[in-house]
Amino acid sequence: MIDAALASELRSILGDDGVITDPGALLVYESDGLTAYRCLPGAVLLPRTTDDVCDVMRALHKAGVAFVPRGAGTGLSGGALALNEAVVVSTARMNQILEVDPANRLARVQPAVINVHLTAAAAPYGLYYAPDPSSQTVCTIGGNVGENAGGPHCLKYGVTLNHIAGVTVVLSDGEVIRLGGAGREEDGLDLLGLFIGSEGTLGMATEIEVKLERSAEAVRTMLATFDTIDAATRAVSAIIAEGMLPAALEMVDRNAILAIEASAYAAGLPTDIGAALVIEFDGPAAALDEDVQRARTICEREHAIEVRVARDEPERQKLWYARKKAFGAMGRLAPDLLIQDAVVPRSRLPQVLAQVYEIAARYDLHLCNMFHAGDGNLHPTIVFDRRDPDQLDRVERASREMMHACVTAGGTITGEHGVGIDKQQYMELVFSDPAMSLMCDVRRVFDPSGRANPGKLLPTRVCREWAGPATRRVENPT
Amino acid sequence: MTQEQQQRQQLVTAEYIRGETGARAEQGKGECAIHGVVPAVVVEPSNGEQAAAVLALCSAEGWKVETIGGGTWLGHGAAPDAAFVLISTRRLAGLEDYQPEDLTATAGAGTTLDVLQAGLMERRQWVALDPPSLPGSTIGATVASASAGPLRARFGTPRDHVIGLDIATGDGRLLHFGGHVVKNVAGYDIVRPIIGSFGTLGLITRVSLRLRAIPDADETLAITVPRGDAPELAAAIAAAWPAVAIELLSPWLATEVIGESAARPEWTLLVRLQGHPAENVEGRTRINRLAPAVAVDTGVWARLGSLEAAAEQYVRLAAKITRMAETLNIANTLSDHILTGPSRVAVHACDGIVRLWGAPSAVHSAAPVTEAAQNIATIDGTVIYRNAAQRNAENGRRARIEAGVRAAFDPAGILAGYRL
Repeated sequence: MIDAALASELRSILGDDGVITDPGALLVYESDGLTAYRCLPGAVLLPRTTDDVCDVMRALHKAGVAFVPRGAGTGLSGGALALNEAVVVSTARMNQILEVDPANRLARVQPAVINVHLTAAAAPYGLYYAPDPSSQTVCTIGGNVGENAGGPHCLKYGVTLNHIAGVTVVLSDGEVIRLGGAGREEDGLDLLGLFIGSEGTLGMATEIEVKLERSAEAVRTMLATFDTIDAATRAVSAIIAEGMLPAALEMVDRNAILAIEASAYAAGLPTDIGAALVIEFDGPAAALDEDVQRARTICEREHAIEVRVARDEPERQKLWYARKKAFGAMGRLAPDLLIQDAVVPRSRLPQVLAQVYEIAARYDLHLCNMFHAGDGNLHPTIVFDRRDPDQLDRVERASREMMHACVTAGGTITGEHGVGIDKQQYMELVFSDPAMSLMCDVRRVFDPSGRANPGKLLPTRVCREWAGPATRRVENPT
Repeated sequence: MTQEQQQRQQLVTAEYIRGETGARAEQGKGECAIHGVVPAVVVEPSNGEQAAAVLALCSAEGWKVETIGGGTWLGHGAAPDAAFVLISTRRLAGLEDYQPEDLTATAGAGTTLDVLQAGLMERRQWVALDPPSLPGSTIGATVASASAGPLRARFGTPRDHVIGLDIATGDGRLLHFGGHVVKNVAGYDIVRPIIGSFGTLGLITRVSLRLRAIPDADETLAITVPRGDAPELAAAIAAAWPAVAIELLSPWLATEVIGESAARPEWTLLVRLQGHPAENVEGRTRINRLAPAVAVDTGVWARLGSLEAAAEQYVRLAAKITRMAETLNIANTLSDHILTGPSRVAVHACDGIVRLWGAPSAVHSAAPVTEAAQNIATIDGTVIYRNAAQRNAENGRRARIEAGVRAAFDPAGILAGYRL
């Protein structure tokens, strides 16, 4: 808990309702989407404007208190966890769409604008915001910037990095900098690119300029079903190898389909198959029939059981709803979910997926897979009950082996969920000590006092000043 | 000189300079002059480790360093103020790891764009970048200068293509960031600030890239348009069809690029279509509904890139697309002051970036550029003047952060700071 003098100062800035210190109310913020870790913040602050954030940061700076920026708390790597009683600076009240500029295909938003609300605001102009993480109905643009969020349609349109024109950032000492900016071409280092995906460790984005895309003239969404995972992944690799660029190319395995079809998100997917692919093409109508035919030919060559095109928009929406709500559907299977996030070269998908299933079988774990196959971005999901220590131990060990298998195949440890607290242990699999040391130096440039989301992203053995005092009240499943 | 220093010098001298390439490198020193300043020595490492060793030595000795690929962008920034060591990527060349099934490739930084694209062509793949370039322009320099051409309308800039790279930092650490996968959020995205850093963070030794399939059909249309009507027409075309490039050229430049003998009286929009043949037919039909378009040779894009890369005096002006008319007016005024003879103006109509180039006027003054920068700032735009250390006004903290990031890579400050 923060001390009374600081609480009083913060209330003078934000008002009584802008500072939460009641332990019961703080419980809401004790974890993010990675519920395996829980940690009560010292307080939660609710600024409304960039000026509010500046004032708050100055007060925290003077008091030497660490802070964690937080959007909707849907992150899956523990990035929004407030270690060591750090203060959560929530963007919840910074939720205004400040401007939609259709002629320049831009929008200016506060960070807590919900991803799908931005697209809704742009829709009347025939525009939309392309990155579409599965949590897009609740996650915020600010959180997306912090994590460099992806989503199914990033295969064609790129991740958050590719759709941000500029950000206003408040640094840990309360100073404001502007990075990038629509229409600006800066003759300097791409600090905007560096900031995106920095998980709140370099500062806090308080205003964001986003690029909007033109809505596609036409869309074709296909469902291809296969007897085996292997056949489905071979089809994915072949589609990529032939140079096709679907808007999205997603895979759902049998276990995931069973969970979806037994839930409120049922989409009529066949439950007696090994895996299904959702393949979507968009663009001018003149281009799509040939794309669909080529994809169909490839799937049939890989012995697809059935390939069909969604007949209408409701059927298409149903397919996507099922895909995007699959994680929710799995909540019915067991009390806990461990959603991994790794990326492998697309040609290695058949081999790596076979390894992933073998590992799960060897540890006697129930594994579901629904992921961005076209990007090679896997999300092996283990359903388990953490109250069983033996099961928990097997989950941990299997998870580690899966991560090693992905890295050995030339992949990386996270494609869109970020490092947070969960993936720090794997950073050394993909970065040398000197590379991590340089990252640490870069972090220090933005945040010399080490108070911006401490204990995240970099292993503490590399970045000791960000470790803080011994962690307390972190409930780790181990 | 300490024993350690002697050893380092021997290493560099024997291995990198007096070797078989040494003489050629020495002869080439004059060609590598930067604003007339000739390097003290040219070094051509053959791998990343050698490059790092050279930089470690230079850092320890405090010798200033400049890096060079094809030499196309050496005019960017101010003149160096001291003798310097020039490290060339010439021997860091070749397609090192090509995974056509993954549409990824890794190439040495000194690989020329021509060689790289030719190597990928065998599998009907390419890097969808068309930066201003001349024969000998390298992928390393393209990345280091974040150079992109008209294809940025669809495919973006090097920022959107590079998935990993190796860099020898200013103090001689050889570091690898990113990888061979197309999606990656592990750690800070250190790759992005290295792209466009103009050698101020280190020598890029190797680059991994996302590739695309070469389209079945690729054609270019030319549309004649009065300058005043061009922004509106370009916007209408962009809304009607997802062209991969829409470029507005001034009359003189269009004449040169299209290769016509008679000077064009008006400005020209070049529109590039890629896709299935049937798709392009539809695109052509829709564009013709907006304005009469004639097909031209697709070689226009390479000619435009060559002319731009060979520019003597070169300025870029950027503002939002809806400010294109004002940006063109500012460019026009600037042209009258800094250029002599015919000026060339090209506009990336997708994002409103105007480039202006030609022969420099006899009387040189930075004042017109400063005035243009002030004028365009009123519409929140920017000016980049390639031939001087012209920096945009920015708040002090951002500049200090940038300096701090550079110091993290180059603690001794030996790398070409005058570039940015």
